[in-house]
Amino acid sequence: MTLTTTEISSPGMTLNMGPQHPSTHGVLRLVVELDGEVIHSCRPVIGYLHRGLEKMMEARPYRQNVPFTDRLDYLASLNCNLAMAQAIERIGNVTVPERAQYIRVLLCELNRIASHLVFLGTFATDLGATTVFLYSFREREKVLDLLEAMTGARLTYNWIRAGGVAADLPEGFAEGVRAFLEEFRVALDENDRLLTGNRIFRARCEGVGVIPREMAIAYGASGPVARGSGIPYDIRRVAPYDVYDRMEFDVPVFSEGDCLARYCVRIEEMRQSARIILQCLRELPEGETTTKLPKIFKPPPGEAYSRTESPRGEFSVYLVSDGSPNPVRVHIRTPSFVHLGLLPALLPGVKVADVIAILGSLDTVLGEVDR
Amino acid sequence: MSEESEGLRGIKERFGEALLAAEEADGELRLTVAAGRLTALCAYLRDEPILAFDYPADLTARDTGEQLILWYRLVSIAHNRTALLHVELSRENPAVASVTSIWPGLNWFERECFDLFGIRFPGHPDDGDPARMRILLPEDWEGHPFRRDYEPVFSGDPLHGPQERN
Repeated sequence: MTLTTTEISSPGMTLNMGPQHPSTHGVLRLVVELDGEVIHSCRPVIGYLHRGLEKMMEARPYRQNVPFTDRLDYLASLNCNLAMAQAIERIGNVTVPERAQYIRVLLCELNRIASHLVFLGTFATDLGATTVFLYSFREREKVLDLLEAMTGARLTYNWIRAGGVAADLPEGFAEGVRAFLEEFRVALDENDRLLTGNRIFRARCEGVGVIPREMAIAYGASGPVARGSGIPYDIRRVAPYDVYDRMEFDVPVFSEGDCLARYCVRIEEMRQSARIILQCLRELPEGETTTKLPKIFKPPPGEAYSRTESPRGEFSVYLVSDGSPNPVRVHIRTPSFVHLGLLPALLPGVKVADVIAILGSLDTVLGEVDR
Repeated sequence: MSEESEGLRGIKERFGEALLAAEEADGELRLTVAAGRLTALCAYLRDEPILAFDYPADLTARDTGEQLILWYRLVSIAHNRTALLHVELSRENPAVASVTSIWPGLNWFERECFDLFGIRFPGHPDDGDPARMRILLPEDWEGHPFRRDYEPVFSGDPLHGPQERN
């Protein structure tokens, strides 16, 4: 008896990942064409969380638009508040008191740490290292407690307002932050021992989802995604706002472009954020924390654009005024929207299991993708 | 003369008649270009070494009531400089050539401009198929809600969303 082998050709398979899939971190749907377990093409489908925020903002006075921004990148809402507040200040020529600028930088960096800790926990969980989640959320809890003491909220802060911040630091805040940063430094070292050198973790990350430098530039990647591909592009450095030009910090850049590089950028960024926070506490000047804006705020006709560095990348707000109390056009450029646009170019040739790692390493928040 | 002005001079020489406005303010290049010459100008902006606007930062549009204005924001990573590019389009059948072949990162931004403003981008990979061009709104949505004359149609049935479906 002879055995014959026959070529079996598979017609390929279409796989729907999401919109209800835990690893997509929100309501993202990926329509993936598979050839075996290798991806042939991918089409992200977004918009499940589209609330028309830009349109809603046109119907409200400028200052009432800041709370909406909490709902964009809900893991770093202070950074979103800042981008909107800054755009309003630019269009109305409002100057912000120095103390308020320091408090803003301080809060944004605390929020950046909280956001990167969510990335750390979820990314590790995606790759099967569930323990890290517990450690990173333990640390994040402390940041949230601090921010809660300051703003009364744990997620949607609405604390950075046009003209400054809502109120001064509460009593004991500086001591609380210093104590946290002491513990946090130890926790980061602990994480390095737990995860960064872990062989399984590295095998899932190293060389996976490589975004070459040219591709990152042509696709407009920003934040840790760009810096993980060797581009030293950080808005805090290339176009400083508030008091970032006085801060001493490094912009970590890794040139590998893989998931591990993006992970390393974020870990290093948390250390730099801690440095910035300590400088803010040390140099914090006395004075006002807000510039009073008129009750009916009517900026002169014109346009304003504010670029900021959110934990995910370049977060910009474009405002157009016609002299009335409401903006006539609001546009928000969000980094996650751009990074998801990379997927159709990035995923072909990748194995299905690596999609989870790649998606996790881009650290997208669907609230800001869909707006 | 500084390098920037040299860049601007080069653009003026090459695209003189197509430029409706060209200036430099706050270290930023601001150009308004005729829609027909957009792709040529974009290719020049990216490939000319003293300009090197290789990074597409943003694209959006707005409806002034008389016309639609497209708003491209470009960054040169090497020179750390920004450029702002305006294209004015009529509100009847607005269309402008796609620049996705120059900056693939603007693919989704162009889809968004179609979705919200109804601007067509000939040359875009999904152009001509409204269901594939739609990005934020459902693919069977009718109309473009950021147009000033957009009237939302309510079906009255919350399960069907704002628009009637067949």
